Amino acid sequence: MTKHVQQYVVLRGTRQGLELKLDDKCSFHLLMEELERTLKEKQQQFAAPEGRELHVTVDAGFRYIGPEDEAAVRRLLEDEFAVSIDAFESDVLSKQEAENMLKAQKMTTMYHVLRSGQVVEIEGSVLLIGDVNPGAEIKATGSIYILGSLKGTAHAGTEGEVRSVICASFMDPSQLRIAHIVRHPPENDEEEVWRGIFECAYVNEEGVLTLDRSVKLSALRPEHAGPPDE
Amino acid sequence: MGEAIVITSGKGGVGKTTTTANIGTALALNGYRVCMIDTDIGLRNLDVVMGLENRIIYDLVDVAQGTCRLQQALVKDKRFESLHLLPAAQTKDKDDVEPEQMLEIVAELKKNHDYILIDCPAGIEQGYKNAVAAADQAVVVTTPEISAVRDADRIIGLLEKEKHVEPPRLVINHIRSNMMRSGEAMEVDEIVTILAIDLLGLVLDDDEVIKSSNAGEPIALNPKSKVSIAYRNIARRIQGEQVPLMKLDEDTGLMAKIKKFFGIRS
Ligand SMILES: Nc1ncnc2c1ncn2[C@@H]1O[C@H](COP(=O)(O)OP(=O)(O)O)[C@@H](O)[C@H]1O
Ligand SMILES: [Mg+2]
Repeated sequence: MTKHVQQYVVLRGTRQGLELKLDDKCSFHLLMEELERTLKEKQQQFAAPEGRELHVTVDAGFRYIGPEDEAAVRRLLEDEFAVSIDAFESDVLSKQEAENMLKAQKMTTMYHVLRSGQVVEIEGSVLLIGDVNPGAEIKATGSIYILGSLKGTAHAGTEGEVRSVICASFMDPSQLRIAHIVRHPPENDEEEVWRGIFECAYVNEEGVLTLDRSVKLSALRPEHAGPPDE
Repeated sequence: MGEAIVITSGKGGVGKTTTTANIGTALALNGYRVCMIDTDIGLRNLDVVMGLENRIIYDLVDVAQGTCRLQQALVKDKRFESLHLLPAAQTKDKDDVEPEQMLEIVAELKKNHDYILIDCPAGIEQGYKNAVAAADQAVVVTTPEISAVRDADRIIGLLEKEKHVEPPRLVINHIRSNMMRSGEAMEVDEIVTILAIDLLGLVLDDDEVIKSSNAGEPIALNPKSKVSIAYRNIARRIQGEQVPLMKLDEDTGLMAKIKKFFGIRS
């Protein structure tokens, strides 16, 4: 085994599993070389029990790893060494990513009756004080909260955020969409009822768009539960 | 200076022309100077409902294109000195009139009329734009039918963008109280809840309306009919009076109100 003065790649076990800690000062080129060398050297150590995959999380520290760099690391680990990456972490964000995160968190408040033929698109979440009439549509990249009746169409998580929700004081939509999942109310009266007071719509673990009472949200989306539990 | 009121609906056949003729007649009956403009170019019929077809010489397009003076095109009503009609052209195209020309014509008419009632064609194209261009107020006509209410909602959304028009008011026409009671037609409260605008009046469905329209005698002239009283009340509300709404003898118990509030049908 060759000894290096400086270790650019450190493999260590944590409570969550194996973690690959990457140096954030050296050049990316050097880092990749080191990564490959380390993996080769510790191949036996890496050998997962027969038939099982080895999982790691990668921590890039304060290095900004763009999509191309991330792909290069993934290619090396996943394709050449059959190690699967559970999470790719970095302490830095690009400005663009930070802006997107801010936008997603933004809450827009509006007083309006959205009427047939009108479409409103919001970046982030929206609190509408008013109604969404039949034939009208409200869209948000985040969640949609309506203090009023939802009779038209609501589309939350338009950029793919499946954890977005749709809430309304009175829920009687013509169609609901969360991310890419679409549902319209049942057409015969025997099936579950879709009209109700203070209802919310969310995508459950099976990927099914589901309706429930809004009070269930604190359990369904604890990340947005807020105080006093925070 | 007069007030210009557009009577519109989105959907055709819901009663815009009937409403225009009767509000015009009722306002004239109350002593106001009124001019009705038919902007349904190509499908004019306000003149027929008013029984004035034979008196037409010039029309709206003639005025817009300068073929005649405005005063020459105004048709005087048979019954009221103070009631005039500016008829639509029957043979010309909707695009023969521009919104700017409507503004000029209406501004001119305002000088010697208290109310200018603009009968709007169906749809949301050029004809609608012409009709709305010069309006200060708007009356949206609908019927207790989902499709008519949907179109009314669309029109209200468009009217709300017109900053020169006051918030529109609603007339629900063709009301059949037995159908409302049995739940076969939408209820008044349900319609008003969805459209979220002020109610100007309720007009019952009545065969007499068709008879009087065929006779060229607007029903508002008949003091006994319920529909006539409804139109006269609408006219009084336009004049600014507080007139209570007609009773439709429906279920108004507390439970029914709560159910309606949440849109639940009994
Ligand atoms: N309240 C009413 N009861 C019965 N018939 C009506 C009533 N209102 C309108 N009508 C009839 O409905 C038809 C369409 O009305 P009209 O005023 O021409 O509608 P629009 O101008 O909106 O196209 C006409 O035949 C008219 O006589
Ligand atoms: Mg008409």
